[in-house]
Amino acid sequence: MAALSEEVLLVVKKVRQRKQDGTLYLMAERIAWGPEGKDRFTVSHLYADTRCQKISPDGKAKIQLQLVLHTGESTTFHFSNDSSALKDRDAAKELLQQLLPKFKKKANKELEEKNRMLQEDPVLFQLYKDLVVSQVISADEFWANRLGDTNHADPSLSNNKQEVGISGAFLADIRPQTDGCNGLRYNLTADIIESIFRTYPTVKEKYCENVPHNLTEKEFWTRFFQSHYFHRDRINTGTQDIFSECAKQDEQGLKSMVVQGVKNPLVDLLSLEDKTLDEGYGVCTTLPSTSNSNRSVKESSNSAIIKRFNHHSAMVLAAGSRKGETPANQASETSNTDGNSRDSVFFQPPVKKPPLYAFKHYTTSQDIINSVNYIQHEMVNYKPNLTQVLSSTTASSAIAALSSGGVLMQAATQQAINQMVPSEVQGELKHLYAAAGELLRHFWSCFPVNTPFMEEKVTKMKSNLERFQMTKLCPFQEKIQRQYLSTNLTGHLEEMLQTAYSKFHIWQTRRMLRKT
Amino acid sequence: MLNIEGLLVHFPYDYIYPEQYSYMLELKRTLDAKGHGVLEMPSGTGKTISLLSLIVAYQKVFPLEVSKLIYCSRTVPEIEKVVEELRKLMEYYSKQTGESNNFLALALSSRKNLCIHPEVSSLRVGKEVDGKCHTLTASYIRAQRHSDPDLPVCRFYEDFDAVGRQMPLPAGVYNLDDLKDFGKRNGWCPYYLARYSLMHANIVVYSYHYLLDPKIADLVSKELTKKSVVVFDEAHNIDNVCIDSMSVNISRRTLDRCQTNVETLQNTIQKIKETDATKLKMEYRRLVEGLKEANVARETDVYLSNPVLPDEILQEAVPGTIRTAEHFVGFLKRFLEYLKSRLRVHHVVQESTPQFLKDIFDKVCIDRKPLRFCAERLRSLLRTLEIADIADFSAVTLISNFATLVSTYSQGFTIIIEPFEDRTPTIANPVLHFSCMDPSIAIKPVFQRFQSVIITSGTLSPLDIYPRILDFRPVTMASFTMTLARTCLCPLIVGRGNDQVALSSKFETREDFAVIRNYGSLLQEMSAIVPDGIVAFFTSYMYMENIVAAWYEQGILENIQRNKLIFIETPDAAETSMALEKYQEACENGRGAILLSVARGKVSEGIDFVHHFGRAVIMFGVPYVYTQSRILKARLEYLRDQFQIRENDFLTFDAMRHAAQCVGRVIRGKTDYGLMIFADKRYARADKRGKLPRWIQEHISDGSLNLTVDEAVQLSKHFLRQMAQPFRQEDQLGLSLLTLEQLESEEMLKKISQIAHQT
Repeated sequence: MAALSEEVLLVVKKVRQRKQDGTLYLMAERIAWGPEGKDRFTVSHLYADTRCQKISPDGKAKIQLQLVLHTGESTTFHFSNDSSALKDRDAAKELLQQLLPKFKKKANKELEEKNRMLQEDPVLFQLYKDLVVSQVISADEFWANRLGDTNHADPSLSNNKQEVGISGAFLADIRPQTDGCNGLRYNLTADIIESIFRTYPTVKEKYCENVPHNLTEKEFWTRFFQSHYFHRDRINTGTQDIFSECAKQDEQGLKSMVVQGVKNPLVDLLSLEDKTLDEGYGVCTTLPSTSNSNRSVKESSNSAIIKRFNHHSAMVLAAGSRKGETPANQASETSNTDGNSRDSVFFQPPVKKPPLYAFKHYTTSQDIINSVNYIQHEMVNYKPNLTQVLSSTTASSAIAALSSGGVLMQAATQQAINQMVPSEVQGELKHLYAAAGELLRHFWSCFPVNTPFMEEKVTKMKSNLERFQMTKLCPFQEKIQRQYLSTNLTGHLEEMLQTAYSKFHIWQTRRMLRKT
Repeated sequence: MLNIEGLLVHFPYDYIYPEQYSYMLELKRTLDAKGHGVLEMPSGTGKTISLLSLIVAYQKVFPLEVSKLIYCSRTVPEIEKVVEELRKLMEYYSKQTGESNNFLALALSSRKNLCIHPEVSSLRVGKEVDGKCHTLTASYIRAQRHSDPDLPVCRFYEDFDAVGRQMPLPAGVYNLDDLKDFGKRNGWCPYYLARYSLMHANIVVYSYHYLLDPKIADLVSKELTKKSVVVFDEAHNIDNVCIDSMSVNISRRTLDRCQTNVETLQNTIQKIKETDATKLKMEYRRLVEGLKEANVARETDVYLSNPVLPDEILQEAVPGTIRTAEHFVGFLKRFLEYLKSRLRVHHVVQESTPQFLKDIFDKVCIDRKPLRFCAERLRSLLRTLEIADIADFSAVTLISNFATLVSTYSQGFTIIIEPFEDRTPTIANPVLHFSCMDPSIAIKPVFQRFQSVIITSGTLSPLDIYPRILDFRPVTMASFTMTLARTCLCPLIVGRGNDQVALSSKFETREDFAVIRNYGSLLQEMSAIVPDGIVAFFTSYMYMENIVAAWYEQGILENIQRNKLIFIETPDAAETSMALEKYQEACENGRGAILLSVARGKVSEGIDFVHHFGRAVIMFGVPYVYTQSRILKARLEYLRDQFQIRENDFLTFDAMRHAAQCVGRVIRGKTDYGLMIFADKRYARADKRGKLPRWIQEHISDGSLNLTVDEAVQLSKHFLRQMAQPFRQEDQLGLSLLTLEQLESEEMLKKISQIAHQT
């Protein structure tokens, strides 16, 4: 293999795989391992194929690194260099950690795209089944020129995707696990980090400020999880905590949201009451006094939890609807409100509240039924206004003439095919046509053959065509013979294949001539 | 055009619900008998329009019998909604009859909602707006302006005063915004215009307080005609409104502020004496004469009797002991000292008003009689001293109101002095509660004065208790159910957890972990199957805080967050408003949300969760009032002795009406649907269940009385699947929605009367 032409990022010696000593190579696009003393790789995985890496826990005797592939297979490397095994492993791990996500995204994107195409296009799906699943051609060949097409043709389509919101429970997914010795481990994925950043822009700010100048990424998150900010029910506010500022800003943000008031008069509890009793009147039913001094620690921690939930939900909701707009303006808004400028927030002119009836919009099922009926009605009366097209009769006769069995196809029978053969056979025939068409497209696209790659491909395509004839077409012919149907149903197909074969022969003989 | 027992009623909609017809029938009978009525009909069945159409028709046909409709509602949005319905009705009238409408209908609200003065209206807080308005418009301020034209002025009031009174408001329907627009166009103050127009309006829509709170009723509703129909809508809490308007709490802080007030008064008197002694002399003379004038007016029977200003007071002049300003201030000082000494207690004191009066006489020789004149005397003094900002003197006003109340009523009130709060016995915070125990005192003048008073709400069950606690004799009492083409509400009583632990919020199991866990799993399971919004109510704020903390620790809330966002009511109204708005936003955009809230809280009283804003409501526990409160105990005793209502009956009644209020929040119409989950095994008992409104009760099947969480989830799934099917108007027609022809068919009328008479 042309391994040496690739850029090698890391070489680790004394790595065992399947009880064999060898060397591990990390390259730009793949990871490979070769046994000692041989110059070829027995193991080679593209990063794009790798789902994740796993490492053995710190305390264990064997220091290992495992790669799990998308297919579910896994490969384990054992670092056996006595002195530096741990260091080697960690170096490999760190590098992989940086490399994998890049490829992961790409791989996922492609996979998603392929999936989407298959789901959206049943014909394509059938073709895929006919050609790839039955192993006439490989999946790579199948996708070779399809993906390219779509990517170039319609870039807006993929951009147009709806933005995904944030799960309300993303913090819950960071389940802390005890590691057995008096510590906690948090599982943090790229998705969760993104969720945290999107929901709490202030944390992102802190991150940009501190990482990597002051703290490593790991330290940053460790501090985050230790901070009072993350555990809102704890009330000790350490001043050295870098997140205490975040908490303050959040509180400011919450306050400014509250001061801004609500737009909907129906939920504005402050203006709901028309005439409240003056202070001192009324039966005193409010039990909890508002002064903080005589509230127990537990109670204020409880109310902190409640505040936190409200804030968290509001932020998640906002993150979902924020879309392109940068979260920075929220931060700048809050940072303005320091000291005496707070008053300016207070005395902003009261928002003009829209009238009550502006808030009644709900589509009942009756409304939906009505609108569906309306659209149906519209559709019935729809008359396309097209000027430069054939009339439907001429168009259909042209199609009939061009279809197999039509005048232009020189088939014997003039009778419409759909009256002669059972629909099941028709369906099968259709699939065959589609598959053959696809293969032939590949075949003909190789001409003119002017590169060695093309040569290789055209030969392969020819054998693909032959295989198709053997595995698909012949059984079908036998089948229709058994059912005593006219054999020239497949005549046109065979003709097409024959044309391709003869073209191939001509090309081959010419090549021979040129070589000799 | 409907025919209600001979009365032709214009109804502005094409279709009518059968229960609306029955409701109008019952209402007409009440009006015919010139008596009072108690009517229960579920929300969302068009109660307001039924009331308005019938009473307006009655007014048109018998203008001499009923000349005014006074419609009282609770919140500003509700008031505005009523006026909008009225507008629809009036437009329909003029379209049908072809005549232009000659009715005047208007809404009245506080200055905060009506002021158009650029500076004053920017204040936003009700009390500040009132105070500022007073500094611009008080009579003596305006008098001062004659000598000093540089004083600030409210030109809207001045213009109204100069021209507005001569030109009556043209006929039409005026909502709050319409009044403001009209005021801006003419340069008149909308608030005073509305108050002035109250007298000749045909329909007035305003809040309860304008009729029930003597302090306000005296100013606003004094001269309303006797031939009025008064409607109290959403009246399930009317007894508490009555009690609140008559009760006073005095803390040490109040007394301190009062002390400053009194000193200010004294200084001002001193100053005036040096500069303008005649003023005080004039006041002295006016005091005697002024009260005599009021006395004359009273005899002509146009004034509402005022509980703070009782009948006999007017027969006499202000007693000589407090007639001069200095004497009165001295009197106030003595009274204040006495109150201070009373607050110095170390143990709880409870006494009746006669005991209190006797004690005050023994200790500081204050007689009952001058006490009774205290409020009136203070008002006169403040006027004489030309004090602009009345708001500053709220403490001394409070004390003198208390003096007048305590010396006027020997029954129906109690005085409780608590040296500290029950939960914090180490921190001294003495409070004197002067609390009204008899709601009938505040509402009595209303019943006596107006020929028909209608008490109505979606939840008034059991009906017979309201006439008893409000002490009146209704001519009609009826509860109407909601006729439904499909059963759109699904009440379930969840009495057990999946582990068979009995679920209850009762005191003994309040801290029980098993119960809290099961409540959590109920909410979690529901959050997974109910679309859009879920509202959950707890029995008290404390209880909710504890449960939320426990759920947080156990990670239950995190699991719920996977399904829906969580919002929680807080004691702060502004914060809760924001949470509510976000909650609605989350329901709106399809993410779904849960609102944790408190029974008896602001949310449970005023916010509707229509359609997707509330597809399920969960009532965690039975919302009993905090029974350890001494005020409540005193009230229960009073109810037992005076009205023969047993303590438990009242407590259960009170708990169930709040529970019904909470769960009723989700069904606001016939196309709406929602689950109602009562999560407490005690709901299954007949004495609790029987106190729910009929329209909820009749859908509780025997099979759903003691469900486990899983069973409830199964039933809910089934219900929600059914409800998600398309629901057409045709499905309702003829069953729960009638055309005029259908209504007039013999068979339907029989059916309607049959349904109505099940009560």
